[in-house]
Amino acid sequence: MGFKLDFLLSILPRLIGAAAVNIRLAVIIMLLALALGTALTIVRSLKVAAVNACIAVVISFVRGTPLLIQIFIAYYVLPAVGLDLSPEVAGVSAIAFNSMVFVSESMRGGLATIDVGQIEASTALGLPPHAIWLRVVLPQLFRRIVPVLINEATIVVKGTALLSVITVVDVLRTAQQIASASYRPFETMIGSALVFLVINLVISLSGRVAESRFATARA
Amino acid sequence: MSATPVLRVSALTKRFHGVIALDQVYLDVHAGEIVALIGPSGCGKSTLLRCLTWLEQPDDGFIEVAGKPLGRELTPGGVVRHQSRRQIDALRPQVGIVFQQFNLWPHMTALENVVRPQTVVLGRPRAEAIRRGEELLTRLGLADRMDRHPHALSGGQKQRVAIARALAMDPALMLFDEPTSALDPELVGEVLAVLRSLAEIGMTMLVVTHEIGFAANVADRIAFMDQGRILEEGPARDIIAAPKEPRLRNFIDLVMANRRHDNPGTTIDTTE
Ligand SMILES: Nc1ncnc2c1ncn2[C@@H]1O[C@H](COP(=O)(O)OP(=O)(O)OP(=O)(O)O)[C@@H](O)[C@H]1O
Ligand SMILES: [Mg+2]
Repeated sequence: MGFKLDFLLSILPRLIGAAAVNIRLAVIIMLLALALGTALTIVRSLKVAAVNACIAVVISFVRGTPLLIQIFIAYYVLPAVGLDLSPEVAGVSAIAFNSMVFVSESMRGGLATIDVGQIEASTALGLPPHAIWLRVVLPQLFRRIVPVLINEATIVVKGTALLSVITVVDVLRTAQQIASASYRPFETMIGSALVFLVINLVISLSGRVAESRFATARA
Repeated sequence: MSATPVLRVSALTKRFHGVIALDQVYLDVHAGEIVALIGPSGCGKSTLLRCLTWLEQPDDGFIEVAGKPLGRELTPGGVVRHQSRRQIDALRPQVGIVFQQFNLWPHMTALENVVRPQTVVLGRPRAEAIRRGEELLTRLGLADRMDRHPHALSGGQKQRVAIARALAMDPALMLFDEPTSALDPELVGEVLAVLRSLAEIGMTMLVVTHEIGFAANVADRIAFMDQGRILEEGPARDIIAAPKEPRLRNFIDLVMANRRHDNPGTTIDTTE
């Protein structure tokens, strides 16, 4: 069974159609991860020992276990404790939770590079804490972690393929359906890989443009 | 003087892990007065200024700004009441502080650095805040630098933006912590000139400085601090010409010796 380019081309429209699902989920996941990661960073910066100890345990769980297992937990285990989530919601929650931790970790790294003198000057001028976060700290943090966020976005896009195992009909699951119907796994897998590759190339390139924009905005 | 002082510090005490940094400091600064705070390294000058903006919480004692207690107040019943962050923040614009390291916000232009605190803290309309910012930056000689980010400014220019940022809040009192010590020698003059011009328009200032010439020529009074206490204070020329405290005498001798060493030929003009 050789490789047939015309078969690959014939299935591409279906795969690209399914990619809308991956892109939609990835966007939702990234927005959630950013919002939750920012909130988590602020909570951690309050330095409440007991809270930070709990957060540290959760973080080590997220970093130390495979994402696929975290997705299965959200899908199969959470219903057992009363949280019955649809496949998409379960999958999005699991990946967003995972991503939140990475966003928060890189924000915390960025936080250490912001000079405390700036915060003191803001405080002395009478800025209340929320204004210091919103006007002074977060704008600088986001700019600083743009490269990390771009990288995380490509990881999230790839991660959405894992949701095919909990019945989300995404690019990979569509490809598997085509493969089992046509007995042509070679072209279908190449096709789905191409779809992910193109999405991530677009993300990396626009990320690079965004970064150079920030660089020129500073100069 | 009978008028309420702009700043009244009484019995201010601060310890760091049990080690005393401010020891019963008393200091009054009246409207329009310029007080130079001098003293050896580690004597507590910066700590005093930081306490005056409540960046550091004093352990004891009281601060009054234009008659209003800051941070902690004594109720008529004799009970010490701690103010909330909100109450303290409401008073903070009254006390402008300019740091040695400028501490500008790097992600904003010079003008935005001056505009933002006015809109956020004072609730000024943006157009008015911009007008005030442009006016101040122009007065400080930065008319052509307003759209630059701090990294594209010289140390002296950054320091002037920081001064404009504090002045824009219309403070009753300005605090300066060694405003020239992070600057290259050739930039010191421009910042001292700004301080002189503020003195001319009647700004009340407390200036920590190692520039004994500035202290002698521009300040009305000099306060000498050592080991967390204000040991001697008085009219500037008396303090320089006839110091009473032996430690102040030693300090002045030392600074003068360094000065002659650094730039021979300069003398202190106490007749200004
Ligand atoms: N955050 C801190 N923690 C512990 N000790 C401190 C802290 N800040 C200041 N100190 C100590 O308090 C004392 C006074 O320090 P301060 O910075 O006020 O001195 P200074 O007069 O400003 O000196 P310099 O002329 O070198 O700036 C010093 O002994 C210093 O080590
Ligand atoms: Mg100091």
